[in-house]
Amino acid sequence: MKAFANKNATSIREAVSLLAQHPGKALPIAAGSDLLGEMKDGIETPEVLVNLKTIPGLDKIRQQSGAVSIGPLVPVAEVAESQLLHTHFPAFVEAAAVIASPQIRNVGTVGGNLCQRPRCWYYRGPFRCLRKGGEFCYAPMGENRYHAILGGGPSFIVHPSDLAPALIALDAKARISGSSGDRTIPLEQFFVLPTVNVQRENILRPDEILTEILIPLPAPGTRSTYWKQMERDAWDFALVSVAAAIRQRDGKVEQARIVMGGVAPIPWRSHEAEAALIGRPLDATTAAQAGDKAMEPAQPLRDNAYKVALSRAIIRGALLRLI
Amino acid sequence: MTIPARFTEPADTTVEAPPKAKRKAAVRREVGRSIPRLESHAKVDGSAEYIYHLRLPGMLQGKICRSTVPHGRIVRIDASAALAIEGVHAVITGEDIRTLIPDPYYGPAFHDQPILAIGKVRYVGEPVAVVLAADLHVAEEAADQVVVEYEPLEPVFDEVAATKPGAPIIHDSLRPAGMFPDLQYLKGRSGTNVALDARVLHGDVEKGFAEADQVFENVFRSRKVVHATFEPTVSLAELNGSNGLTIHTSSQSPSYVRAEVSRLLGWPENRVRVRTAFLGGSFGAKLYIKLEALVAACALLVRKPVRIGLTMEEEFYTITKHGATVRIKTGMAKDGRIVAREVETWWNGGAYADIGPRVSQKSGFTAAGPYDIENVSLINYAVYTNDPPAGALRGFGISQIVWAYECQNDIIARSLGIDPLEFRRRNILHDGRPHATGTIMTNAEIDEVLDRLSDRMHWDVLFDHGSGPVRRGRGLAIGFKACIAPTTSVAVVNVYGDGSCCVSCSTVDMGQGSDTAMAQIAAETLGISTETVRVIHPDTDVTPYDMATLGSRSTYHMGNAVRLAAEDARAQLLRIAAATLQTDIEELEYRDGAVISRSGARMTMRGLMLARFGMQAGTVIGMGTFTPPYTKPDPRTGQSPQITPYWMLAGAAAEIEVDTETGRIRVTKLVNVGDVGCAINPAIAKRQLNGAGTMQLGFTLFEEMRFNEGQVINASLADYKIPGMLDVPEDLSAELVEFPHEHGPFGAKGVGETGMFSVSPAIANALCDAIGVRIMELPLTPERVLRAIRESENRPLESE
Repeated sequence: MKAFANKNATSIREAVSLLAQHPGKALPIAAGSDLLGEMKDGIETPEVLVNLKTIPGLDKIRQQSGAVSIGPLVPVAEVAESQLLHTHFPAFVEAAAVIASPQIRNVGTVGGNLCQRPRCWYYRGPFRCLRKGGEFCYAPMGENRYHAILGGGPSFIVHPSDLAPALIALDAKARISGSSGDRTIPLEQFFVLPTVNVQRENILRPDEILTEILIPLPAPGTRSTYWKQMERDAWDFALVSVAAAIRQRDGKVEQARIVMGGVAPIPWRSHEAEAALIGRPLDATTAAQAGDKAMEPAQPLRDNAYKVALSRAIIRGALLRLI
Repeated sequence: MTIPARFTEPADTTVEAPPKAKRKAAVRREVGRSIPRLESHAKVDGSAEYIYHLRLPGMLQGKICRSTVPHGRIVRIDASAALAIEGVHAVITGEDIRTLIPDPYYGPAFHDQPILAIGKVRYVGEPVAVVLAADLHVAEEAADQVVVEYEPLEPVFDEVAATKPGAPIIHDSLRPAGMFPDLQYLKGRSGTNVALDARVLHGDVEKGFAEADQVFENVFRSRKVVHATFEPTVSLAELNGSNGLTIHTSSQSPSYVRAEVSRLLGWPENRVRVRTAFLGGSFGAKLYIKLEALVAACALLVRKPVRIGLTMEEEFYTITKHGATVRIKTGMAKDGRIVAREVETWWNGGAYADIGPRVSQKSGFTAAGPYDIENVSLINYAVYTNDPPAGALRGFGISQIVWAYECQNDIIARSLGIDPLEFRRRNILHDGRPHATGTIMTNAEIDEVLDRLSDRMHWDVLFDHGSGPVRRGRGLAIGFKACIAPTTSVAVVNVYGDGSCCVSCSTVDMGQGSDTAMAQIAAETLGISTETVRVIHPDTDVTPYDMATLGSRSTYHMGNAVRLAAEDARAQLLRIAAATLQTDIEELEYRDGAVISRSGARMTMRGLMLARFGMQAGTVIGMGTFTPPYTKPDPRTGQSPQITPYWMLAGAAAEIEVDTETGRIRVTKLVNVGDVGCAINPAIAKRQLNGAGTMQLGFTLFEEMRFNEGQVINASLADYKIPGMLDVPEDLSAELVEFPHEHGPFGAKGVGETGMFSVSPAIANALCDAIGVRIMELPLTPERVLRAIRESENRPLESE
């Protein structure tokens, strides 16, 4: 790991101004469970780390009118154990509970989970790939069993976050603070496809940090769940995951948000699957159709066609949990 | 050579009780007791010594600069940028090593591996240079700045392709090492990637196929995996006086390291001291030479202590398990008897032979399975490729072979409509019958292993396969291994003036519990309590020669040596007492630090010392040497009347659930049965079986090194998936089959690898039982399972 300077920020304002002072050379750090690994592997070589953990107040879960506010420094384990969150947002809690290992959940933060970098082995390994400023993405011609089946090109990474699909399914918003001010956007718009930016997974500018997640309280009748399919049962990233939030009225689906993890360079919202459900009863037939529709645009690579079959199965399975 | 005394005492379990009068003499106090490991507390409170933690005053840390191409000529190494970094002490290359060691090639089978690459690199990750600095971070940064220019050569990665005419040749010529007697048959070769082709011919296989009612032929593959020890490989070297060298190393084979480093330096062995401590796992990764020659050369070049400790990532570049392609052809008679079997195996040994030829030959000769087959032909190719080197991994190739024959046996049984258990019963190789090598089977309790599996699985009870997307299945498999031969262990038992004792031996406790087992054997023989025995860790200045801690050989070989050494010490004490008491030695017994005669006379340790040394101090040293008999196989036919000191028999059975929509297999029950002769410590022996079973579970379901043009792409524990606690089957159990081996110490055989053999085929057979799908390549990932399901439904995934 390259030597670096650590700066403890005491406020959001100080953090973003420190980042702005070292353009391209500073990175924000929370728990560091992802960033430190990247630094050890020489993927990121910041000269300055701006420590966000020293900013007071960013580690709170607060109930507000019509929404719950989640500080980005809330540990994942706290989400997994929160009764308040479990009451309103089962998908969020279920997603938190299956992240990594107990140690990582204890230190890892909500913000860090949303901002984590891809697990692609070309990105993590000694390859100068597109995402690291290289000429091309190794995945299409290489070992691509874990890569994107949707939204891929020119980079075929998949977004590794478990919390992101759940929070997008729950219509969460993100507040971003930077040296030029704050903005609040739907979390769905936080993530960007490689066609927009091939080197980043989100819209954060170098002097910006995520400062709050707001989840609106769901309308009555809303149910949500998160299904993560892993190769092994502990400490694994999703092969495919799905978060589904469904509101039914009079035996028909009134609103549906279906967001997948592990299939695309961003948390992948399937409008096709949602459309297949709206106005119809949620049952085995419509759940299977939603899975089929979600996979219509899929374009698997040489080794990852199984993820198409897997996605269909777990979309159906997740929806059946919500009947 | 010492031929072991025949063991005459009965074991305390499973065999019929002897008449009461005899039984009294044979009551065991220490052997057979499940005492906690002697080092448990030290491991929990952190005081246990590991070499990885060792720091020496004035020490430099080395960081290896590694090859980035799989096969190429080194055009230029430019270390100027690295040397310019503040704090860099030196950059060492292969040419620098040559100034110290003119012929710096090492290896237990062939002298093929350079300490640092010379002229050519043969795999991605091969050490090319070492940066030395007092600060490891400085060394790491500088290692990135060493510029190496390569002229790429065509690589070859596949073990079958590498044997074809026209394949790129990885080594221009091969020089046999000639150190181990079982590898004396290796020949110098050139112009080929096949380091060894070993054959076993038994009966007439062509005739057998011609007469068979049905012939089955399949190809099974297993991929490269790694040991993933939690203590990575580490070695330190320091100058010792004016002309000596001390190497502290996480090695399973300190005696070998001393010999090989001495040979490289052209020194007598007594100038090289090698010591080890507890190992944080090894499983074959820390055998022979790994970093020892490199740190030795560096320390001598810079005249300072040098440490090199690998990262987990670097472990993937250092040693792996062999990938293997196994073609197996079996001729069957109508009545379900196997009449002919031909097995051809290509072992992917990677760029350097390491111990690959022994893996190929030793596992290869068991490739027909523990079955009585009249006509057998076994061919094994130890193949060089441009992958990282492959060596020993817990089982020495056996699990790759069992994977093939036990999957095929199930295919055959199903095809013939015979219950898989019954199929195996019909074909078992019973004691007294010749194995394919011509060696007559003895002390091989395969019937019993099958019986226990059957009981534990309730095999005769109808099994619910489930309905809906999640299906259930069960499967079993058996396997066996011949313990390595010929090898020697030497032990010293030192009884001090107060009656306490130390065992000096070069067996390395790497987590398997050998310290405890050796202490139990010494304690049993000397009539003292195990907890009072201290086992001195390997230090070649102190502890005598041992071939290595490998191949499940320590309990049997070193156990016998320790028993003999303790008997020797005891005999000396009895002789002192007999002379003093003027009585017959047969009248005396040594127990709890005193000699007692039948007539009731008693001599304490104090008295014994006084009698021997004229004062109440002194030491009685017992020595034991153990080398079991062995006859070299005929190089043309592989025939030998005595190919091994003992056979290790094993069986595993699994119940699984498979989700047909996600392809995910969950093993709900895993039973591992091992024929251990007699368990010195039953709890530790069972843990060995369960530990090995869980390790093999990882190799069955998750683990697989993935490569991109020779570059490992999942060299981290995040991406290379070993099983976690949640992956351990809820119902995991081990069972010991205990029939005392006639030459084992108190009847014991080895057990370290036994639990590995049969797990993979048991699970694959269970998968087939559940959903009728057969997968012939490990691991059984959701991807492979889904792919196989879809192929069986004629809806290949590629249609997506």
